[in-house]
Amino acid sequence: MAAAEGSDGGKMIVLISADGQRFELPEAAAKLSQIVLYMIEDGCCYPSIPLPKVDGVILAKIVEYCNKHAALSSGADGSSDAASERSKERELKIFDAEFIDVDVTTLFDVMMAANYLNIKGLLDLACQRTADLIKGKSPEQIRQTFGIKNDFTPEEEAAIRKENAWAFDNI
Amino acid sequence: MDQTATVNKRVGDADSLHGQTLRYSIPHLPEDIWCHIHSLMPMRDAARAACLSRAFLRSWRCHPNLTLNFATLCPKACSKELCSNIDRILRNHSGIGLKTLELNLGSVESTFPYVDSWLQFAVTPGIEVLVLILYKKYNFPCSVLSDGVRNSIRDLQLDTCVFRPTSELGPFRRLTSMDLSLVRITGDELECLLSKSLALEQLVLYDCKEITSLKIPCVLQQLSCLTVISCCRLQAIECKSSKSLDY
Repeated sequence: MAAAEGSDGGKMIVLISADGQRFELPEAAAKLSQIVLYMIEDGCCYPSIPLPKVDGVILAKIVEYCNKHAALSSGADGSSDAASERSKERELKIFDAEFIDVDVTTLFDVMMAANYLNIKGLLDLACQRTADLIKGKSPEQIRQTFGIKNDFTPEEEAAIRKENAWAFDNI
Repeated sequence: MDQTATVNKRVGDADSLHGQTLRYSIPHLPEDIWCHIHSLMPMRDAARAACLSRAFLRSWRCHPNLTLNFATLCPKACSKELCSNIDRILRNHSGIGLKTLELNLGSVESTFPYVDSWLQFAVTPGIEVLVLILYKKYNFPCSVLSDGVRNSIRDLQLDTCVFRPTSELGPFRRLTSMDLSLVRITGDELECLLSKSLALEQLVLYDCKEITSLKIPCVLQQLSCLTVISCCRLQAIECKSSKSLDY
């Protein structure tokens, strides 16, 4: 939401987390969630939108992401020259990198919330972060880090490791 | 994928308590999200992740991006392994959902007899990016470019081969970028191919010695970037496209 328009000037949307916390954010930011967008379009957003699957701690993160992205989305403040677009893109990139630098539990909670709320940019960001965290790790390290259960028999695991032996050098 | 609340039996006693605590606290991700994350990983990471569990193995069997080259598949610089590794990966791939195929034979002769069958298997409708570095006598089979493939492919990069597209070949509806390097193709054959690639925005020709004249058909309204390098016999470029080009 553009500062020039003033957050008090535009419509505000209220989201209520599973634990009853209340978050107020500009409509433009709330609309980054497809689910919330549909509710706004259907007029089901007043006085507030309950989100029973999202905890307050995580919803605070989601709101922070949406506010930043809506504020910096192209043309939000009317300036559209290439230099200012590039500078906004840079700022968003830095914001995203810091935003998603969290522990695995928070990362997965944010990912699940982004999936539930259908916020594509945030879901992509969280998925890419997880893929990046897996880079260079052995299967044992990945299972340990992300809580993945090994359901292979030892023979099956040995066979698939042998099949992909080329991927295990220097690991 | 599987919830991990149960203790992995293969984790030793010393680790199991720690492992169990960790597993209880990490939220469960649905298989489709893990599948998406898996698809974002580079080849070597994705192949190692296939060893995590059955669900990851299923997801690896339809990994959408295959990079089959010497650097990825032969870290020990043993060229003998290139052929068997490529063959094994393709044989075990479901053939479903492949979007990007990068195949670089790296002049390893043992791979040559298999290229036809690899391409026939892997280049399927839905493919978007095809990067093929083959060998100079290889006659790229146009039959690979079926109706479905021509409907989905966006980016075609051919390097070191003979390419003889015939007039029977149908239109490429989504092809926006084409790069031909060290490809034996004549000016007429290329013109015919271009006239069927109406969405083309970018064309790169590098060291294509058989091209003596290049005609850009007027139907190519989207073409905005043409790069021609080291095509030593090229005498003339005739451009009928109305759009201004960056040479």
